[in-house]
Amino acid sequence: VSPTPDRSDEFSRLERAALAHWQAPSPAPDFADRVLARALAEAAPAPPPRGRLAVAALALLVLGGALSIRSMVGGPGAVPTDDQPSALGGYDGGLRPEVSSGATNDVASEVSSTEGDGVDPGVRLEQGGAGRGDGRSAVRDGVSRHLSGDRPGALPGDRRRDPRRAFAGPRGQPS
Amino acid sequence: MANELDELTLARARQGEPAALSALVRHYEKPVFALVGRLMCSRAPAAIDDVAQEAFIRVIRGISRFDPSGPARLSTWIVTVATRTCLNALRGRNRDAPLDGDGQAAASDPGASPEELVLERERGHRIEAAMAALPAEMRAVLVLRAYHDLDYPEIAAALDLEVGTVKSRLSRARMALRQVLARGEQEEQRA
Repeated sequence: VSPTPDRSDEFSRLERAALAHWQAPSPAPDFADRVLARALAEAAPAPPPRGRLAVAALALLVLGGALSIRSMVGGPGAVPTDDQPSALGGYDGGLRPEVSSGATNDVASEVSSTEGDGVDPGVRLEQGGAGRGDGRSAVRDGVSRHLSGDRPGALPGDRRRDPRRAFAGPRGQPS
Repeated sequence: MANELDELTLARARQGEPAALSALVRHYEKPVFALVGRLMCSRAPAAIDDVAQEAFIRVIRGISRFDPSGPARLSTWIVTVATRTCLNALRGRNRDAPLDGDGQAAASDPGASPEELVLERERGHRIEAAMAALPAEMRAVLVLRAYHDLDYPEIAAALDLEVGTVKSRLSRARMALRQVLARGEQEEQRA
């Protein structure tokens, strides 16, 4: 056997005899069946990937959690509560001087509790609140003028300086 | 390679008919399995089975794009797909993986004496070892030429090489084969 490369296209007899010793494995009897089963399985329409479903479920959970937290903390969509005067009739700013000047929580709650029925003596009607223009506004205006105008130097809506307030009942009427 | 699949079965296989696809696999499974087995050089039978199966899956996926009126025979196209699948698999494997030569024993002549059987088996192992020592691409050239009767342009197309490169690689593979044969003869003479 020559170690030099043989450039001829054909294998020599010796080479072919040697290559004939190199046997190849044979497929198992069920090889074709397994190939076809795999091919058909891969050709079948795939179900939606689990990953996408998981991501969608997670997104829904996060969104729901965020909405729940927002509703609990407060905000534009918050549920009205009794300790939020602004939610009862629209906060008009009329209470601020009282609260900020040392009014107790009792006064604030009294005012807020009377705003809802529209009989409050002028505290909010002086500011042009929501009740203006209705049938009761003339009565309210009269009461308001009575409370503020009769006392020289009294500010509109200043009930603390009104001596009659000391005898006022829960609804602002003299008892 | 074996004679080609009949045209009607091929046409049905191209339309995806399971029975025709099964016939196609059965028609070409032996040569493809032999090709993969030789290219993978005595690796575990399970690995050979996996690669051969992957090759047929690719054949089935692409059979609709095979043009029967084109220049390539179906067998050449299938061998090309199997060769590329196998070389890709070999590139991803550890080349130093342990060899399993049990499934590669030389065919035994029923009338051969026990001494001749031993000699044949030893020759088979030497050839396998010599081919396993070759780079996979060089081994592929030899296998496609010697066992599957592909001509140089077909081998070049299958391996994406120039024809001249195919010739030089085949020449070097044959030289390695001859060296193995020379060493074997010397050992047998000593024995």
